[in-house]
Amino acid sequence: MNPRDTIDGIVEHVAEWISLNVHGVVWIRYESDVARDACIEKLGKYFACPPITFDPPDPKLAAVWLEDQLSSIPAANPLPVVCLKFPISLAGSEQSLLDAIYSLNLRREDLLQRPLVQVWWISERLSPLAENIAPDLNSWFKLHLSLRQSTPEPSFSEDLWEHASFFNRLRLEPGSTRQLELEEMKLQVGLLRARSEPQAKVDLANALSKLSIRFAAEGHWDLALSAGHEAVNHFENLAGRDPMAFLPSLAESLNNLAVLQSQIGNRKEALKSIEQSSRLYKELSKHNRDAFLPEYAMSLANYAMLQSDVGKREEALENAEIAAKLYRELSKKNPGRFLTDLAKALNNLATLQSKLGSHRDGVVTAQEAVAIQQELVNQGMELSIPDLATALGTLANRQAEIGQIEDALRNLEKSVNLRRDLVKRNRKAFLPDLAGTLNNSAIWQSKAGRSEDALASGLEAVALRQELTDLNGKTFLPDLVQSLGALSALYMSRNEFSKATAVSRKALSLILPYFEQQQEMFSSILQDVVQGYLEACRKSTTVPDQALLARIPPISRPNRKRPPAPADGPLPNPKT
Amino acid sequence: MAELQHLSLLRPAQTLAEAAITLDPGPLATNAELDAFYRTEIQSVRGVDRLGRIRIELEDALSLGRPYKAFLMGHPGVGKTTELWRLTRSFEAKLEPLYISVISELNPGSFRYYDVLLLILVRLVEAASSPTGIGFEEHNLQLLLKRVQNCLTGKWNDYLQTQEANVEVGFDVFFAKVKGTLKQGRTFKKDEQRFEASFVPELVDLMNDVFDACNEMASKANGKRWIIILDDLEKLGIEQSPLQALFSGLRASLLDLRVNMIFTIPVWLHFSRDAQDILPSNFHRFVLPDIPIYTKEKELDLESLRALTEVVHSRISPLLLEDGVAERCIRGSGGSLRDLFRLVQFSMLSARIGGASRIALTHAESAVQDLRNDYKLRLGATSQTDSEVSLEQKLERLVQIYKREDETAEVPDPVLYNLLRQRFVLQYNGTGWMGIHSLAVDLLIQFTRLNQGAPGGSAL
Repeated sequence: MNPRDTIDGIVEHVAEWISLNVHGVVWIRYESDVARDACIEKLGKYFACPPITFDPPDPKLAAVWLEDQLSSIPAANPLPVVCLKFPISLAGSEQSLLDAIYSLNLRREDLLQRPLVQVWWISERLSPLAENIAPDLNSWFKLHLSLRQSTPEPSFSEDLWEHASFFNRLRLEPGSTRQLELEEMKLQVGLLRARSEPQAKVDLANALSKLSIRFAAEGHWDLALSAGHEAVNHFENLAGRDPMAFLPSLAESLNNLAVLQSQIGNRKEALKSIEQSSRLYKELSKHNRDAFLPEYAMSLANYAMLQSDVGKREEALENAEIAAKLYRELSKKNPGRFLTDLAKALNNLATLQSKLGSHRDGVVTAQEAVAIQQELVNQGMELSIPDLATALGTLANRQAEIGQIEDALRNLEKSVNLRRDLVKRNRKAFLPDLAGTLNNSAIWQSKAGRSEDALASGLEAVALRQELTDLNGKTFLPDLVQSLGALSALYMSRNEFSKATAVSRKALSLILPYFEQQQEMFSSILQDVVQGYLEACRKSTTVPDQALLARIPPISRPNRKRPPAPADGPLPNPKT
Repeated sequence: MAELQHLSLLRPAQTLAEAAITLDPGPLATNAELDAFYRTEIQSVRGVDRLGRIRIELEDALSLGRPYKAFLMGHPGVGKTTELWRLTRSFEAKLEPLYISVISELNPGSFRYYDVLLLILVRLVEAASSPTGIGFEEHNLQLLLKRVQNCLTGKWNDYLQTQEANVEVGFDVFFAKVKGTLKQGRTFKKDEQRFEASFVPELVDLMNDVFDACNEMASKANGKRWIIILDDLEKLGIEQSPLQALFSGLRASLLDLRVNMIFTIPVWLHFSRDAQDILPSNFHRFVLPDIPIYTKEKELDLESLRALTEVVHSRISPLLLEDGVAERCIRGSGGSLRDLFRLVQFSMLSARIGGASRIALTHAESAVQDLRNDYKLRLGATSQTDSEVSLEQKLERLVQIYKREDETAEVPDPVLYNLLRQRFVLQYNGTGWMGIHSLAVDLLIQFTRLNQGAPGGSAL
């Protein structure tokens, strides 16, 4: 955001203008009443009278009404400063307000040539309409400003709470508040669906977008996905009619949809969505770098992780590096808002560096990510706790890869402890993260020879993922199968082959129905499971279940063995 | 014309703070302001000297003793009022101007067409009878005032509620009361029949007698004649039907009135389908064209650039502008003087806030970006009830006009009206040709409707 368009920037410009003591109107468009009022409060010492709310009883006589208001202000030198607030409608009618502004157009010289400094505030949406209906009036304004900040600049920590991780904030809010808001949003969406006027379509798209994030924060993945798809469809239609106004919203809704698709394992669709989102943000940032650079950086970071998921690692690394670079630039200008994004981008970059063989670079990058998140948490930012836990998990994986296994296990333990606390606050929302970290712990503990610890972690991961699968099978089953695979490998390492066989058979029987419905989505995980099962059968001298194996088409039959791999659980960013 | 706030500094600003005063977007309304800030080069770069033609025709009409009537049209900020002031100044030895503001002196929300006639009548009689006016000898004056008063207290009595004005209180108070009634406006019951229209022919006869008498006496006194200037009918803005109704009503009266008159009217009225039917045929019509900063071939018009640079330098010392600032603002303004002043003004404020002593190119760049954003918002604005012209239609038409491949693009219709009103489309050399604002070119490039680097945009 251009500093000029912030609350402080507007106050600075208006105050400077007032100091010039020249009559006429300063026209300020604003996006938020809260921000407008914050400006007015800061400028309050200059005003000759309390702010006037534009509320003429008869729109056609609005100019006469305003002349009366202005005439009541005694002349003075320096010129008196008057603040005029336009509402978004008159008696509920936008048209009445525009009629009233048209009336001002007719008497513009009488109004604007008065020996007064007038500061007029109008909402961003109405401003172009007013300028269109009264172009002559507009051409007489001395200064045009745009207040783009939506809320007052908070203190460093409040700022972070607002911007750093909206998704985490939702997950951390008290359950009753969340539930109430969710119900209100569902109700609002229902009401908006019943309305047919153009603005209702816009409101519906926005409401669906928010609802999708709310559902996701509550762990209602299918509902989140459905709302997300619908939001994208609405924004596509709106952007088709008015690209300028709605392309940013379309890009945002596509980004959020990609995050959701990724979270439920629909990687190819996620990649398509994020690719489209990133392309839109890139174009938007070319035209307005200040406004859209953060979004472009975010979409690139997400794009990178999703490219990596489908094996496009070099392209992913390139995008992740650009994203981190952009966030570094942004966080220098506004650390309060972008430090946490930088840390997340670094976290993702570390994973990609590792995947391309730069393990040591991966450790250094992950350490920086942890340091930033830890600092934020130390400052009291509890919403950064989930991100710190993720960063610690990533660092642990990177450290373990280069043999720093004890450091890795310490960091994993820290991560697990943080996640356990989070689960106590919102079980459904944070359970997937805890299960994932326990799963990773089991793998590295096993490799470090801590067989009992590994078994405990592995069993707990399976139990938690079973709980999640019971809630939403399609979404969490791949994770459960992965944990069963890891547990099977653990039993194998303990020479408990029968248990390994039973566990891997269970994994196979669970994944097969899903594979039969969506082969493409589940083929990779199926191969690992079958490989593990056949290996366990061989060791335990158990005859493999031929009927079960017969359901697998030849092309999906495994031909190599892959060890269970810890996942970093990258945290793509939903844009809110 | 409403009383204008006059500029208090009549030389180029020598400091950034002074520029806030000199860069006022309002018209130049005094001789001193015209001398300080008007640049004659502006007339030559408009392509045609409309005011020069008016001047010659007015001169001819005066020498023949015929009334001269004209409509002056142009978009907001193009300089109509300033040019009218210049015109009357150049005829100050021959003409006594009477400026009437329909907007300020009538109720814009409810006035009827004959209110304009009544206002002209009352204001002329008042002006001619004032101690400083040029008008009647005492005897003739009293007779004429009485005749006017009788008319207004006769058939027009119900309408003007003159019964409530004490006829015996003197003419000053009586006319003040009538003016007050006209300004206040009246609302009538929906089913109430009004008959005033049938009184209008008689009113016009009376007005002509008054004009004749006033002109005769003024001519005797100092060789002058009266000219009525209505400078704000165009301010009625964009609502087509009320203004069309106004002119439909006034047409016959305007045809018959025997006095010099110049009215400013909205430019779109001239181009509207029924212009021939509603505008009186014995009025000359002049469109004050925009200033092109690019030629038809989309090359920078160096003459315009020089003229507009002169305008900028008349308001702010070149010492306060870094190299390229004036040109950057001119290119961003699309040739619109008000946009130009806005850009320089905003750049000035940015420079002050940044602690700079001069306006740098970065300040101007930021101002242009800001103005471009305004244009973008206006281009895309749709109200809840506005389903008339879509963004797509606007973009398509802008491209057509830009490319000049299809002459029908310049045929007036609701899309073109909209673009003309909002200053996306500009008219050069009167109705000679149309072009699009440099910021509109920027936006077309931004929306990939034109290729990157397409000429005619705001970039240096």
